[in-house]
Amino acid sequence: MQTFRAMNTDVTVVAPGRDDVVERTLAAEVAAIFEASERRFSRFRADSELSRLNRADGPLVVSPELFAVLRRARAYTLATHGLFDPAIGAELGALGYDRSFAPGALDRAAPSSPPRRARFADVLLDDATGSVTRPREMQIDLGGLVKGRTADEAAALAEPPFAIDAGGDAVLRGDGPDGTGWIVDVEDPHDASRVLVSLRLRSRAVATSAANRRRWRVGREVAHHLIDPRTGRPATSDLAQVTVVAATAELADVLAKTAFLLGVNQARELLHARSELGAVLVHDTGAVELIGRLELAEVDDA
Amino acid sequence: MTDPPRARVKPGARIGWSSLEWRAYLATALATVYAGVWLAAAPSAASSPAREPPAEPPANAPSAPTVWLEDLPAAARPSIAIPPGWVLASRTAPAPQSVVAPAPRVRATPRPARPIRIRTRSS
Repeated sequence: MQTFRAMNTDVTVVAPGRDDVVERTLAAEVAAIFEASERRFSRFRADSELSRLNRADGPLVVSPELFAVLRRARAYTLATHGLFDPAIGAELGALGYDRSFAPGALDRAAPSSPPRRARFADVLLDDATGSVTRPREMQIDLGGLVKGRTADEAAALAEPPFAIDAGGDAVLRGDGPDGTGWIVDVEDPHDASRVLVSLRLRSRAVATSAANRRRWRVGREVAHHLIDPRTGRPATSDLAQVTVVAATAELADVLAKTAFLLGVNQARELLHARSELGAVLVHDTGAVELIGRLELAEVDDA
Repeated sequence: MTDPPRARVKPGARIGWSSLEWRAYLATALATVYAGVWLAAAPSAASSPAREPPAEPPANAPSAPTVWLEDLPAAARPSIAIPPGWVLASRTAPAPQSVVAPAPRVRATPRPARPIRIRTRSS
């Protein structure tokens, strides 16, 4: 196993059956892909292409890479009826999430004035010129989508078995280290030291959304990073955590966020509608609900 | 294969120069060698003239047409594509401190005694 730091999280690369030198070389290539992706798509880096777009006052011709990600984001926005909305950067900024998260670093006495709500559907994507025009008040945040997408891209570097785990968004290629599948432990959102359930997955991706980790104080309230685009405020949900198993980490990340915002009943509908998906819903009561055909593995809490 | 024809030199051929012509030839050759050595030894002095301070524009001359992008009306701003990692200068925004970040350092994680497990969580 090799680990590096990128996108404000630990990224682990696992290449079973390869010697350390090969695994380290693969991890270095994966790290380079993550670094390039962060350099282009981070909203926290003033020199990123996304930051340039977020500062632009008019149409801006962007790279094909950024244009493609924005197109994907638009497709997800339409498919989720606006619940997946990357245009929440200004709301996050007003709450204090205007830099990379660190515990306590975002705490503030009061939120800034909330900006006028803008929707990602209002962004103009001109295929003919490759230019993008965003409403002046909008700040685009591609965080989770890009992390999943980057893991998907990097996972294609090596033949299976091969896995990349980017802080809980993981791509698992092949049948795992011993041919019986990759074991994925789903963390308990109420007690991060515990595992709620373990899954055995083959050539799948997994992502988890919860409000328990990226939290900070805004006056007397506690904010978190899952913004509900319907209100522009941190979401309130009867779900404590959603884990989605899908073909790609990008899709798993989008669906996990969307399901969290929908709440138990509608999340169930969304995830049951596609037979290729699996999910673990953790209710705020602590109840655990499995959706889809998931193979369970023995929990090892050691 | 055939080689290209070569010019033949007639055996015993001589150049019939007078002593005056020989002197002129030697003087020219020496002057050429001297000039070559002098140019090689002092290229900057020979090739670039001393720089004059730039001439001040007349006080009543119009200033150069320089403008910050954000000072132009929105409709008049050109679309500018620059490579990833580059930043457009702005009158108001501070210049970024770093343009190219080093690649993340990879470190080996000790192999766990038990089978490898992946943990999924919000991040």
